[in-house]
Amino acid sequence: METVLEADRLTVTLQTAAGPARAVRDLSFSLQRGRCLGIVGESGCGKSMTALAIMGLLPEGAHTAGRVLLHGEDLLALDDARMCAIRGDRIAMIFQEPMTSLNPLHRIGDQVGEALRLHKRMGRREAWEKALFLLERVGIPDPHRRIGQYPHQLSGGQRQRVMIAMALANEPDVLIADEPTTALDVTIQRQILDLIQDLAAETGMGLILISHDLGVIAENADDVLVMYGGMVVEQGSSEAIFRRFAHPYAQGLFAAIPKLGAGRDTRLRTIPGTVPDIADLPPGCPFQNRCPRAEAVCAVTVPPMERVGEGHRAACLFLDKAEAGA
Amino acid sequence: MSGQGYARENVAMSDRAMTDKDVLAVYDLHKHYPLPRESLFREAGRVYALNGVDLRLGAAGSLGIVGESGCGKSTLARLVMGLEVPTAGRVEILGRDIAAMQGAELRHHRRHFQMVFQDPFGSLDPRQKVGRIVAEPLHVLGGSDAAQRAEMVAAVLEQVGLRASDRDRYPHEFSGGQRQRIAVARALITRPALIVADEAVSALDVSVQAQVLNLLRDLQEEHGIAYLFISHDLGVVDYLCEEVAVMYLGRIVERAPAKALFAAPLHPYTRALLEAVPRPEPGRRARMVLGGSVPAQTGRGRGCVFAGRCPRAAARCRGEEPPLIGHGDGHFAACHFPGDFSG
Repeated sequence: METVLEADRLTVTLQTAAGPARAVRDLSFSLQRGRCLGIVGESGCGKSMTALAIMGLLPEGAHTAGRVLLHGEDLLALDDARMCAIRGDRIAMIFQEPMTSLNPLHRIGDQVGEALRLHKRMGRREAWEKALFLLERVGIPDPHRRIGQYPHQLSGGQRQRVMIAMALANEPDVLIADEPTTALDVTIQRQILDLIQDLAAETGMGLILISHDLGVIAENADDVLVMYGGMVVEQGSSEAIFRRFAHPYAQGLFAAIPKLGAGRDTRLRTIPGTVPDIADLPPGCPFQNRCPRAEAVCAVTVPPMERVGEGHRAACLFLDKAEAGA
Repeated sequence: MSGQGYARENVAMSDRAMTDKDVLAVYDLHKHYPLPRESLFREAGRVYALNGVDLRLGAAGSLGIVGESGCGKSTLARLVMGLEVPTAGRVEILGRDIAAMQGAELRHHRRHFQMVFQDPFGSLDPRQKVGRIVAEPLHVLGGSDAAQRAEMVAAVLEQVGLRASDRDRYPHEFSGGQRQRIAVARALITRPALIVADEAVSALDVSVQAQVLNLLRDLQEEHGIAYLFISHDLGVVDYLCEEVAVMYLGRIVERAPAKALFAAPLHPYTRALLEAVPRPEPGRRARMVLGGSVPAQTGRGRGCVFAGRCPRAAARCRGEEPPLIGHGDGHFAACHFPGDFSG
């Protein structure tokens, strides 16, 4: 399979009031054409910073190390002009907030057409017509009327469809969707995720889907990264991971979700404490202070990724070996 | 037409005997908001947020309200809390109509019903210490001295899993989950019979959300508090509530014990909601996908509110509004063609 995007020990350090914060540490993955990579974790785990690092959109003062290769070209080493040519053309992103990521002062058609005029040097009329086609493709009802309207005239789900149309305008090789459905109702969430999947399958682009929702990841991703405290703690195929979580954090996260149908007869297992502040991470394993298996060694050793099954790895010194032997 | 619908719904409700033990009783509740007038020659529009809701909640009971945005669930919470006045209908808490009370009388009655809000960052005053925030309802009620209040604050803080010494700290020193514990402590301090929680755990990370859910369950067991628990998350509602009501466009379309509702829904909308919930399991599922989106609340058509999106809608559904009728064992649905989704 053709690899479109590859991260090699990507590290992001942010400047915060509390000092340097390691938002992402030694993150590696490879994304194949037509595949969906899911990144799941709670707030502050580094999943959104990973996306922004790939897009070259990190906040002021952020420092990166490692490499992010798009068709072999290191995005982290590019100058602004080259990155601007790639962003919105070869790699595009959909954000969580369809309310704030569209410009309220411009018509839908102009916003969708902007990427075409910029990257494809299309004229106004040509871009408008392509925009109409795109709006139709993403399932906006009555696109002839909608194309001339402003964002506030559309519902949340329709705005997210417009965002998708914008991202797809130049048929990118990689689409990053950061919590694309978190602000939407469940029935609309289903429609939007199905649409993104269909479009990815149709165009063969690689998809990075970022979510805090294990259910969304399970149902949409082919491969999964579980992040905690800026690190990948478990990675593998979606099948393997959701069949058996190996890392104590992933296990705890799964156990803490109220499962539909479990009712009041069960009691949720909780993870004690709270998600760590990335500006104040302990040395060693980031999960040590909440982990039921932690021992003294966890406080001083960053656990390496170990194999737990076919294409399935986890970063813990105390992986259940009997379990892992499968 | 619609008037008859409400009458039928009331008949349906009456098969559950009225008792004095109800903590909360809601009768045929309507709430319409006027829209700004757009023309001199046309009547101003209205938003029909609630269109005839009946509910009962007994002591130590727990009722979950689920539905998508615009279904009226937050409006219902605000009316139950007496934060707004209903257009029609009545809210009774411990047998007393809260719209009929004013001033000091209402303020005193409020000790029996308290609210926990969604946003643990916006709902606590950042300039006040936790002790003062939690004691606020006691100040409003009056009749307690500083020493008594301090004692009660210490007790509730410990009940919600914080330390008594936390009273001297400010909200920003706490994480989201701890702040929500503070909000729960503030609601608990008057020993209420009813707590209304509007998306109370939605802003929390999963690992922290589970802690707060377990806390809410423990508090209910210990103190016999009734919960009106509003959430868009069906899993959370299933975990916490004995009974669930599903709302759509300002109406209850199905109400049942949680087990029955989640195992065998009768209304096609409930079924679609359940199917849409993504599940953390390996493998993909085939399922029913609901087209369209929730229509605007500004119009009131004839017939069933869900007919426009319903896969089994027939001519009858577009002309005749289905009443909420009982199907045994406390299971009610407002549908002309309920149940049997095997086909």
